[in-house]
Amino acid sequence: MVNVQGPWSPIFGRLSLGAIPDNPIIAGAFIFSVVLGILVLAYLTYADRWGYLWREWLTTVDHKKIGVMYIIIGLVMLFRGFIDALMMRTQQVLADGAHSPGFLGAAHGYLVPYHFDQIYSAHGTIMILFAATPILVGLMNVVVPLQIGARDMAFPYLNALGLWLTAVGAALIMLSLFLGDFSHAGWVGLTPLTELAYSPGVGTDYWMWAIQISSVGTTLGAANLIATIIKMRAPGMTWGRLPIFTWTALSTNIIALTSFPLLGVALGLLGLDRYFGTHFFTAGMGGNLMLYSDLFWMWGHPEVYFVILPAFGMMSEIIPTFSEKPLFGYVTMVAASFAIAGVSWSVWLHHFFTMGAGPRVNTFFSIATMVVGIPTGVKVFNWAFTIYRGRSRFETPMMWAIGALFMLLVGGLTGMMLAMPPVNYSVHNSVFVVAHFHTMLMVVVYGILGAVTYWFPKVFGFRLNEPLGKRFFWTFTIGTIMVFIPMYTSGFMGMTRRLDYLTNPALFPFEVAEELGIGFYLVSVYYFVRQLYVSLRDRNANRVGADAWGSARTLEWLAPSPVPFYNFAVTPRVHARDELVWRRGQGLDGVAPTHYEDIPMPRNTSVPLVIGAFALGLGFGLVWRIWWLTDASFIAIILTVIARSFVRDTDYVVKAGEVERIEKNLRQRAAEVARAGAAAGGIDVLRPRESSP
Amino acid sequence: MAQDTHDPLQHPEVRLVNGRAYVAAFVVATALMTAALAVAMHGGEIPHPMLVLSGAAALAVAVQIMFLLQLDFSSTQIWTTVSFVLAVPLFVIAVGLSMWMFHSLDARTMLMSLMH
Ligand code: HEM
Ligand SMILES: [Cu+2]
Repeated sequence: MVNVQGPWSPIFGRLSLGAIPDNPIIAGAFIFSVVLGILVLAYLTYADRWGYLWREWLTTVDHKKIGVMYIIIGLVMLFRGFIDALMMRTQQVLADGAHSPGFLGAAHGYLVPYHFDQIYSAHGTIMILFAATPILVGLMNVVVPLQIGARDMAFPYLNALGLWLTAVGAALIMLSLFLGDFSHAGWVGLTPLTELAYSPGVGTDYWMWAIQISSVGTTLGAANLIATIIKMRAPGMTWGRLPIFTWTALSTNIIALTSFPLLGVALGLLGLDRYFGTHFFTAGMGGNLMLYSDLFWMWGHPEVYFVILPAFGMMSEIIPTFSEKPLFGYVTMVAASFAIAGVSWSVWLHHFFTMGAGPRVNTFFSIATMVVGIPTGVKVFNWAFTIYRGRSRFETPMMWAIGALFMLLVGGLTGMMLAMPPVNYSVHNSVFVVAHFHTMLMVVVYGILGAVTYWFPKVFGFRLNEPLGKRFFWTFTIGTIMVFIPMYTSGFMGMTRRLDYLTNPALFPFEVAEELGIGFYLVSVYYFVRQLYVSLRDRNANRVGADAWGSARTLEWLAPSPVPFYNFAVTPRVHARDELVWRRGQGLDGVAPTHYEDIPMPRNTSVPLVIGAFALGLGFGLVWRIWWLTDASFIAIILTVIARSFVRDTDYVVKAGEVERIEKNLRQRAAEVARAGAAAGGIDVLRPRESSP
Repeated sequence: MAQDTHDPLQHPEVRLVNGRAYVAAFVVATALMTAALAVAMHGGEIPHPMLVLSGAAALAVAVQIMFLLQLDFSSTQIWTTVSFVLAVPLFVIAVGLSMWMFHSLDARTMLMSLMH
């Protein structure tokens, strides 16, 4: 065990009152969180909702609720990451040129380098690992079992465990804001900056353990989704009929399962360096700091495809629904997903072309990177041909999907530029790269926002408000254009990334444009919150039947909206790729089952939550080097897992009569909704024979 | 899903449990790792240390597969076996390409020699 700088005590480890930052901005954030926390707790107590929260959410193993909780965590972190972005943009617009003013103790702008560095590190880590990833995992959780006609995931208990481990990672990051500090070494953890000699504080440890713990959750979730897709498909759901989103979920989770362990190893070795004084990634003493970059990007590049493939899947569901036409080129779409997943494993060096690996190596990785463009291009054409001569309706999910298409074009083409070593040498580590991957991640964000709007009525039974959704879309899109086009430009002009102060005053106009852009984003956040509020308020006017959009195609739209806890009263038999279209064609879409059976369901359990709590103790103890806490938490986790393995009573049965009663009620309600004319639009019945296989 | 109402102990995967095989796997793996550590620490005195290390690693993997994971082509294990086989190319890509990109790096950048 290495000795660390500063005081240490057996009871509190490195923790002391000095760990509480005395910065007015952080104090503001702290007050905001405390007030919000008190309001939530007060509401729960006042409305007597604690029991409900415990029974229905905290101990649930229902894949839909777990999915919703993943998405809520993701949205909260998305907001936090957004505030980081706002602060960075504001710093860069203020700190431009030698004469720029300084506030709050900063020479220029209002953030000292020490804080600025933590903000961009937190922003990247949060957005990729604690916003995009959880929201995607959440959406896959909600949608995949429904799309394949299953009652839940293959391992519901493991599913809950994955959720709570992700929550622990997010909690550690939030905690770092108010207790100690966060890493200043970028979201990638630049070596040797992450080594103890250069980062003696707890920041890097927060970063490292937050990722380490949550990625255990992601890996478990990946195994679970793969098992679910392989083993839990309803009768007739052959591989050739699998909905395309489920296909992308399969490919993306294969990526996760094979690549996340690498991240675990990279961070684990870094941990050995920081805690035991080994020399894996140190500069000197036999360490090799580029080995870290190698391991990190061997996970990192597959990870970027991990986030984009589900977004492709979402687009592939939304576009046919709102074009009222089957997806063009189903087979090539599936093949392209797996080709992308496969190739994503052999391109990682493009993140460090400038390492100096030599022309042959660079050429190989350059070509491999460009090869990814082929399957991606196939997808783009498939979507275009799906829209072509379709009956397009531009409801909000469709707007987001088409927006994603444009982002993909810009991001993909700039990616191709970066894939050429000569170009890369001149713009590597410039904000051009930052603009490239943000455009790419915008594909993910647009896909997510489209998917949330699209599947929201399935989970909650009512649609989100359309006019506000449109405003959200347009303000968000203007923001995207105004932030990232100037960013590409200033990257070409030589602006390097991660700057807390710009020496070149010629960049000022671009910074102003970007600041205006982030202003539009701020407005879009307002519209999003307002959209949620208004939709919730007017929910009774916007209730929908099983097929919320009137032209949906896949199996999940067969279940009632909102979906009852057992999903399908009777496991459906699948006849076609677009099952709902097939049933509509046969006039079978509204038919009630004649015969019900008992449904065995997994029981709620508090064990995953308890393990999560111990994992938080473990992470916190490791960060602050409080050894009794780490030891106790670790032993407690193991004992809990062992104790749980003795619990035999993990299921219960919903009696057939009970199912029938619930279904009757649901159908009655659906009929009322239909009379009110809520689910307007969609005339697929007129085209009964379009359902291909 | 936990739809299965049979006794979990009757699952074929659980039936594979075998205490003696586990202990054997553990002992052999520990021995191989100790040997590998010794080779790594006294690398200069042994001919072809990299080959010896790779051989020990391959042996350790084989032992784990046979005794611990008990992979074979039976209907219960075939999925796991296939998954393992499919992971082999990834392993080759990851290790092979890394070795390729690093083997001339020192000469080109003098990274390591600068840092001693
Ligand atoms: C056609 C596909 C793509 C190509 C050819 C491509 C190419 C590249 C290249 C060459 C770089 C390295 C630039 C440098 O650092 O000098 C890069 C960086 C990056 N790309 Fe892409 N990319 C593609 C797709 C994506 C996708 C789908 C995503 C994510 C959704 C993504 C996210 C990123 C990220 C996060 C980075 C840099 C991260 C960092 O340095 O912090 N890219 N891309
Ligand atoms: Cu990459």
